[in-house]
Amino acid sequence: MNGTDLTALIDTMDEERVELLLQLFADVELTISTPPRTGLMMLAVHDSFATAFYPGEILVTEARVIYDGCEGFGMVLGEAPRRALARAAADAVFRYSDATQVQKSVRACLLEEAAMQKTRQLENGALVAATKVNFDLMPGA
Amino acid sequence: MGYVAVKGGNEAIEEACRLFAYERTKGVSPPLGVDQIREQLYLAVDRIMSEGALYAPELAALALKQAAGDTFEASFMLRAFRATQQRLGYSLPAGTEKMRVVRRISSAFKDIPGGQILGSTSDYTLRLLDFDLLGDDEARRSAFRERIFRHLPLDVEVPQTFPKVISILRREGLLEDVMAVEQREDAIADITRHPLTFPAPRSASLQALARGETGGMLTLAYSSMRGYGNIHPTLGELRVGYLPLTIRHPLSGEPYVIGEVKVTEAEVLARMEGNDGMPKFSLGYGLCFGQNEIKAISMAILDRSTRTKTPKSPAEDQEFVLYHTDGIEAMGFCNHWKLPHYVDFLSDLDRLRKSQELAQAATRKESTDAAA
Repeated sequence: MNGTDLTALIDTMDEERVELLLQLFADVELTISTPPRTGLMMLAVHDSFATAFYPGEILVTEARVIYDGCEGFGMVLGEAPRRALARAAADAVFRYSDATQVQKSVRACLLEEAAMQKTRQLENGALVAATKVNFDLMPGA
Repeated sequence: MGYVAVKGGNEAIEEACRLFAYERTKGVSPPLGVDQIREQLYLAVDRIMSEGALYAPELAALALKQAAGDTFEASFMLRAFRATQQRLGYSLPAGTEKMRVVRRISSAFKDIPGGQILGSTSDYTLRLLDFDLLGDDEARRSAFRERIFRHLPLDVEVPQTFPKVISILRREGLLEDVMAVEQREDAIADITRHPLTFPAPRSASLQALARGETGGMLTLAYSSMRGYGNIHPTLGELRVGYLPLTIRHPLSGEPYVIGEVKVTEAEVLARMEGNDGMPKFSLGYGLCFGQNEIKAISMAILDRSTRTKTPKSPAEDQEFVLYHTDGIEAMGFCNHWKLPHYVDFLSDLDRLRKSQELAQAATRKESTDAAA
């Protein structure tokens, strides 16, 4: 998983784990260049004729932070300022040119999160899979 | 009795607002948590988001609480909140082939690639009251969860994405495949920035329907199904799932997935038409926020019915459909009749009295003429 894929996991992380992630940046000098702010992202979808249209807007929170001169961007669903900051900080350390200790720690934390989310998805997937229809033909059909 | 224009009533209005809030709190039950509404009344939350045209589950749940369960009011609040927020951007157009599907059925084909996945649905419930829910508590829930996972085959996986059912028909040349040249659009219309004009471009029509009120859309779609129109649909595919919300990373330019948005999509196959002498199925398309299957199917039917070349019934008239299915506008107009119309009515009364006087004078004159 690349850095962007990993930071995407932050959107659905439990709040306690978001705080754990933020603690990884405790000893790192981060500057909040754009404080978290809410806003709207218009969703565009292609219909079955490849015509794009807007079904509606989505509430998001965005933030930007700078890590050693390297800017990171974070945007998450809903009103979630801490989560947006966590994603921006993770983005900044992943975009930073050199491998750093904090980058390794954040990667490890997010890979652990990926495994947890995979387990949850498998459980939910199994519930959905159990509803798959196996048709039997009617007698004489 | 005199009828006059008035002003004032501020204190009474404020007290009425307080009384409305009090009605929600006067019972002995514990306060309803927004998280409870979001998690346990999720279909209502989905409906509010869809009709409010704003995907924000937490706020939709809050609106439902504040509105004491009135979904019209709750959608109105959500749309009002939307007006206070800055638009930060637009997503990259998402194709629903990438949807992480949790439910997917077709009434057109028995065997579809990937199979029919019923998912979470109330379609097959008996609609009999479940009195056990009166005793809903954590112990009961734990036991239910334990039971549902006990026999679950964890090694069976459903693919996360599925090919479209209609692609089977499209491959065989049985389905209209693209919009006619004159219907293609250079830019996506946005009715939140530019008012609807008619005939509305396809993107504007779909946007208006996607934020339409479920009941209103069902009414018009039902009229078409019953014969006030000519759309007898077959459900090519109905899917519920999660669509990635993807933008361009503002710094790197790479695709950036913000998160997933739950949507319902419906594709209905309707009557055969052929522009080039070759008859083909035509298609209606519906997609809305959340799980709202009646709305998505109704939208697909109305999408198809409003493309009828010679409209003969209300559901085939694009202007009629799009102007009358926005629940917030319709509810606002209906509610405005509760506001004082004292001057209007005084004018009506004056006119009526004058008309009666004239009628009585005419009657008297006729009687006098007859006596003479």
